[in-house]
Amino acid sequence: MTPSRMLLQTQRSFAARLLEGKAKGTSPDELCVDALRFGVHAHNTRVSLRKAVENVYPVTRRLVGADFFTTMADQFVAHHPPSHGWLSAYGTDFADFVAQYRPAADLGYLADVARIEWARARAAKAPDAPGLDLTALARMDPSALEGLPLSLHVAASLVYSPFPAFDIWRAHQHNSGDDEQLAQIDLAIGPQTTLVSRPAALEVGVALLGPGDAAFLSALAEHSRFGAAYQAAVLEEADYDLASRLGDLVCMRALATFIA
Amino acid sequence: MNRPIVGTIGMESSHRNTSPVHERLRGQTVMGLENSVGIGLRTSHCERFLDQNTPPPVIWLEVLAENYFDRGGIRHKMLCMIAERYPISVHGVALSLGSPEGLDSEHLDRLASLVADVSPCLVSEHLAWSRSGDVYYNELLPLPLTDETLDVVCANIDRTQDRLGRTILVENPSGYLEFEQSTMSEAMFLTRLTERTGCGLLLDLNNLFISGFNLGIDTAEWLAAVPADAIGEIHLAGHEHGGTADHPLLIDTHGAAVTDEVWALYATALNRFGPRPTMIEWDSDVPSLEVLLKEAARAQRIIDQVLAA
Repeated sequence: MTPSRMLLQTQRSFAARLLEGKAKGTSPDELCVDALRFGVHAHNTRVSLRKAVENVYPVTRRLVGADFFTTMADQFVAHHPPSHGWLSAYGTDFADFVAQYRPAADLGYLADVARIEWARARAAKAPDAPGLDLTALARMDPSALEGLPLSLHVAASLVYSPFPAFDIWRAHQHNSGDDEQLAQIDLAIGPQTTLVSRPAALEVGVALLGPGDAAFLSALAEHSRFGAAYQAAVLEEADYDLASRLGDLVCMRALATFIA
Repeated sequence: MNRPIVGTIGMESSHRNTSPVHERLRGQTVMGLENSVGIGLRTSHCERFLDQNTPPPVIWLEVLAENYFDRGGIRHKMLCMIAERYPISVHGVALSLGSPEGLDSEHLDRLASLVADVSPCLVSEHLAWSRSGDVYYNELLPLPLTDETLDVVCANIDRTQDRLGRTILVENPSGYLEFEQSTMSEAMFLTRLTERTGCGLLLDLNNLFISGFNLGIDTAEWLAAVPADAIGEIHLAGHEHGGTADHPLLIDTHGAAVTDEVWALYATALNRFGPRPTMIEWDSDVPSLEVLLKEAARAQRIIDQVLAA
């Protein structure tokens, strides 16, 4: 082995065992390092990465309890370790992991609550870009409005759930009485679409959308033009009042500025 | 409010010139901070530092660089506001200076953006690795101290300093294990780094104490061996007892008060090096701001005693 390859090989051997999650005492034999001492690094690695996941998903954790979450997050970390040293990007695929995590299979809403939590983290780290300016929209030639390509603001996300995921998320903001609150939510009340956005520079907003707003924004998210998105909203909500709804959505900074 | 004294010296890229290392570092000393104590900025205290009416009485603040890597995000915006009122020290924990695979370019770019945004008084990183292949391990992992490792770390420091246009401080890690391949002591390794790259050192006395206990490093010898003028900052933190009854280890937790032994080591270090910007590092189980300020005040008293002597 050439000298320049030795450090590389040492680190690969070391790294290969860090996330194995076996009992203390496992260490890479070829490195001749003490198992107990290696275990300190392995423990720190696993716990710190799990905590990084916990920080983003406190409501998901409350819904399943600390022990269940620890086991689930440890498995996520072992199979989806981060690839960059800034952890704000870490955990983006946790909700998908939760969705296929067998022990949580009977908690259909859990992954959607996790998606709301990820959307919040995403909104918080997004650039503080300006949102849609209604006066600019008002100045436009009405004939051009129909074909206007509006899009969601860079910090905004829509989370669709066949469950009342927003109600569940909102009911579990604090630790006390959570179980009772979950019992009071009728899981059969039907789907909810949640808007997560950055209404102000230092603020993340989470709002439950009515059916018209949900259809309007979902259509825009799928690259429909302004006119088609409005038609989608009217299909869901016959008396959809676009002028007043646009005002609210602009306040939430749900929409991006456009280039006329 | 009165803006605390801040030096912006250190922005110039002077590490390439050929004057002796200590001369170069002296030019980078942050005016007015040598005799002062900072604390770590923690999320739970951010609003206190944004309060215009009663800003907490701290001279400077240190931030974990990677927490502010999303330009325009809420954390980054808050930091930029705080940076208008307090000098900021940027402390990286994840650059992986010990990676023979080289540095993550995007990481370095984001660090450079942060440095451009907050014009920090100090920038520091660790003698460690934390990345291998495509995986980041979020832990400061140990290096065999060999000539090969020295070449790798020097190349990575050179690249960092070139990109940032300034010198950085490199911190001694908490030691839990040693490699049989090592051919030099940590103090010698760090000294060579300063000689070859012009970098300074961040002396973490809690880490040194832990390495002393866990690895049998003679802390007095260590302090005598490193170049005094290269020390640009000192860290103080707490630790906990771990390992087993038969094989006790000290564990670096940054989650407790500074211990009496580390305070004693601090007095010893200041008597040898003179006062240095000192930072209370407490980033897990973060206590109230008042507890951090009390720890800072204790460090300040020791600095004042050394100055009066």
